[in-house]
Amino acid sequence: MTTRALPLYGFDSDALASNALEWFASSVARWVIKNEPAAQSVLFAVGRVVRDGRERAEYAFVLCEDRAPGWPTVSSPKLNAMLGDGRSKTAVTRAIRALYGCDEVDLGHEPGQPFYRAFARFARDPRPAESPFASAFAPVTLFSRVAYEPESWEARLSDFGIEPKTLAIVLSPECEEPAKKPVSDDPREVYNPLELLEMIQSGQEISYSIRRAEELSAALVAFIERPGDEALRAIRARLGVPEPDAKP
Amino acid sequence: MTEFNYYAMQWYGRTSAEQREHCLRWYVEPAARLIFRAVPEAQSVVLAISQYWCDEANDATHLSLYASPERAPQWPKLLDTALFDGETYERNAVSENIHTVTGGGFGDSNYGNIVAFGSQCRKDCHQEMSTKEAYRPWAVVRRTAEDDCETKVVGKTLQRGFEDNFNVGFSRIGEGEAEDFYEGPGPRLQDLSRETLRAYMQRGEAARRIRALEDELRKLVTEMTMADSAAALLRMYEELSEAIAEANAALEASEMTR
Repeated sequence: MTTRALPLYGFDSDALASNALEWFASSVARWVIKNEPAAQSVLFAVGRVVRDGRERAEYAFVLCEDRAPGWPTVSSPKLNAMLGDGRSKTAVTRAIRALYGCDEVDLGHEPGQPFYRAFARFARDPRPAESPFASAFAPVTLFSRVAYEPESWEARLSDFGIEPKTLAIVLSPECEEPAKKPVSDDPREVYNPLELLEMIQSGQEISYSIRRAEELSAALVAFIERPGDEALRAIRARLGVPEPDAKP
Repeated sequence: MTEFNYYAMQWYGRTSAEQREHCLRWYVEPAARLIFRAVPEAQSVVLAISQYWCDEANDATHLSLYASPERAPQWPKLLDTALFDGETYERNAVSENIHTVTGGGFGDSNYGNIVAFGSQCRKDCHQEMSTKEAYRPWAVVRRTAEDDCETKVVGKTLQRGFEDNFNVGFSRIGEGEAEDFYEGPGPRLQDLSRETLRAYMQRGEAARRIRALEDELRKLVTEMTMADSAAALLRMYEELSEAIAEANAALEASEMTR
């Protein structure tokens, strides 16, 4: 069993979680969906597990034959692959071997370390390592298989992709990091550069946002003054929302 | 509930060097391992980088991966000998394996790539230049036993003003006015006045509120029927009007501080 430590960076627990989901869980799910034809979805779950008297936040991937499986139901035992507790070694371990050249990826699982900071809040209370899976782990994200339209840009790169759905809810509020409180009227003393620039960058094209909002506002006024299907269609069109009866 | 990122377009890190390390460990090396598995003749994968000044954002930094049959590929000869050369967006072993790692993304050319790699790029490149002139190799990943890899960084810092400077890619911050286009990285955050910084943040907050309302409205009209639409849309109209007024005020404030 080989383990490789890979860096998770992020200025807060949300950024750390995004990093892990964006670059680790998504890549593993995409590899599994591509290479395991029977898998229709991959669940990424986390648990607070006690091993040798020490608590760790651990990850697990569960392969499912359904696109929208219930938790903790996994429809077919043969597809049920888990990591972190050594119970099975299937497509997920092959994915991790192929992507990261090891059997397990160490993302910093102990209290205070990156993975723990990112995900312990979404896990249940700490459980002994030998606990049943469903009682120790909780779902964070479901990655479901999507097939691309043949003429799409994505289809020219790959036939399949993944569609993520966030399932995480805070089950361990004691593991949440406290929100930052302004201690100064100089933003530089409250936020780090990356946070600041993310906030500033959001306003880069504000004139465009205002113009679009004004056009949307005009469509809403038209509906308020003269309600009807036509006005509702105009709002949907402005927002890029397809009509309910439109064919996909 | 927090909305997480799932599409790999962002390099994480508190410094440019950390972001480059992030790119190597989570993007370049996983893609190289998959390429080595899929293409027996591939012996190395090269990450090449470039920064353009006449691109869509007046500053864009691009990353390209090339698979080579040689363990020690030479630049720019690699451009003629690379496997699947010239097929970046077509389906081949390079692009397909990049897709497996990232879902199709190649980083954020107009922001994150600049923060991470702008300092490592040649100065003053533009789209009239050839790839040979504009790009330079930054890292070589070589095949090792058992389909694993080893990486050697060959790039170096050429534009120190971009290193650890998060104030980049803001050429459109003045909505396209010629004088707002930077000729290089923007002033570092510590050199902006407190008022300018606060006004920029206020503007960002106002823009985010408009986008959140658009998202809410999108969800509303997807599910709504005529019967329950009037009251909900009136409420959205009122909130949107308030957000537009706030955004106009924020825009004006930010222009006054410049």
